[in-house]
Amino acid sequence: MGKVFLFGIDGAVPELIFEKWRDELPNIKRLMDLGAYAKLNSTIPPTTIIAWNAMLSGKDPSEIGVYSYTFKDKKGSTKIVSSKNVKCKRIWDILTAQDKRTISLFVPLTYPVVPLKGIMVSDFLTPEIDDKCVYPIELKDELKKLGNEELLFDVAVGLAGHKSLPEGELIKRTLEMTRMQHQFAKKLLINEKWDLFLLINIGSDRLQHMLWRHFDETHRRHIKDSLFKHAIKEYYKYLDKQLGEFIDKLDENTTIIVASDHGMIKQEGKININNWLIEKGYLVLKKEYLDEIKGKKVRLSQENIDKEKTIAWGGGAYNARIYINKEKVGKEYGTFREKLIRELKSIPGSGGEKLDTKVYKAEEIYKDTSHQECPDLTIYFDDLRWASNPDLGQEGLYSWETAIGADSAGHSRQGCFIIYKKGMTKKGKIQDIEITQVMPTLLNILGIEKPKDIEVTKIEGI
Amino acid sequence: MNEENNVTTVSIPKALAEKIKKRCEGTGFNSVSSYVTYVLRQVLSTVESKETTETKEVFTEEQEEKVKQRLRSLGYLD
Repeated sequence: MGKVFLFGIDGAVPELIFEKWRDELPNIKRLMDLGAYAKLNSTIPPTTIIAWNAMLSGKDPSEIGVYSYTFKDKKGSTKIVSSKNVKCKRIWDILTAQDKRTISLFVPLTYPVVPLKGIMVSDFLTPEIDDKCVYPIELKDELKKLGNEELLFDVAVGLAGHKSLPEGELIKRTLEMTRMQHQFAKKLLINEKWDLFLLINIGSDRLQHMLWRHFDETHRRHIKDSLFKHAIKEYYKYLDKQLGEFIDKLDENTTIIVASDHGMIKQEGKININNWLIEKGYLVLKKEYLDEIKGKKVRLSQENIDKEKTIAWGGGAYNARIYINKEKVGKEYGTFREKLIRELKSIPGSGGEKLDTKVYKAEEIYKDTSHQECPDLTIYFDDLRWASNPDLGQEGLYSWETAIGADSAGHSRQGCFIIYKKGMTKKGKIQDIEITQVMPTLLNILGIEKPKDIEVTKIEGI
Repeated sequence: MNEENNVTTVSIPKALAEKIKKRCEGTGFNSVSSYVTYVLRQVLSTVESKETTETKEVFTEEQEEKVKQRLRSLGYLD
């Protein structure tokens, strides 16, 4: 049966890879020329931790059990999500039960790692190199030897460690992180036995968020002739060269997949969602809190909402999430929700222009809408060209940056999928695929029967 | 008074009681009540132990703050 090598490029954009920079990425181009490729519809919302796990489980966010980066624990405190929040089986769980070996490196939401048949190193939600970031634990020293422990999992170190970094330093850190990760991966690729090899690169996401306006001439805050004009392309070229080195080490029967979890889109600005809800009279803050935050930029926390008077409140850093106070609206829930959708869709851009805003009801996205973290509405302002800012203390409806700095691009709804396998007949550009279809496709190539609880079908003809 | 003697009554369907009665034969349980008590204890103990594991903190306070700061700096925390 076949082996699969999956090279993940977080946030890789179809328009850049398939078209704009295709000729400058020779290894990816070769895979596209010899294999098949498609635009990949990401999860709703296209959040990194949710999307990669949908790809590697075939499940929707409610089945995965993760709605955002945080959740409320039983005491009501806000906690960071971890692998413990994941309710469904991921591909390595299924492979382990079938006695097949997975090497999973830097796949989002794998900290703390779980025992598996194979090797696992956790992701950017890892606090430091510790006993829970690698399985088997004997490999911990190997990770430490890579050089810079602070940068092994992510480039963001501390609150002032990312958005306020000078661009040159951000690029340097991204390259250093990727170099360490690849050095470790190459060693395992050669020395270990495996059936499935997963390697996820997060650097592309980090650079695109921050440096988009340096190359995109249509960006409203474009920096003309910037020194960093080619930085994102150069990083793609670097990854492509690395990919070539990995491919050279594979045998010809290994299927190669290059995929991203979502794309990226220039960000016009942010819509201050809670300012809007307050202005509409839907969100009411406790009086004493209002006095306390006067003139300050603060995050809205639920304790400061006057639940007796509030009908809805918002969250979400790129897409917006709206929670409706069901106790307050009661039987009027359906009518109120429809009204809210109409009103959200009519919010204009900062120049008064009409936005192409998409609003999704919970039941349109999630199979199970009963979880307390499940938002009633998920909003893509102008199809994600406008982000959401849930902070309080900004004047008016629009803002350009938060207290921690500005980014110039956000996640878009479509990522990339490229596959090459020996003897494949379906070639070239194929119809768009759903991100969850990757899972049954992987299982099929690996010769494993699809479990009955995975409803989605594999990619046709692959 | 020990726990075993300090008892109360719960209702279960007669058909279920009959099934349990049959199952008790030759198993060492001398009554439907003792069988049901045993099963419920087993179930509760499994559930409680699962809850303890689930609520065990993944991150130390310091680690949690470190990751939160990273996420805030990435714009991923609201």
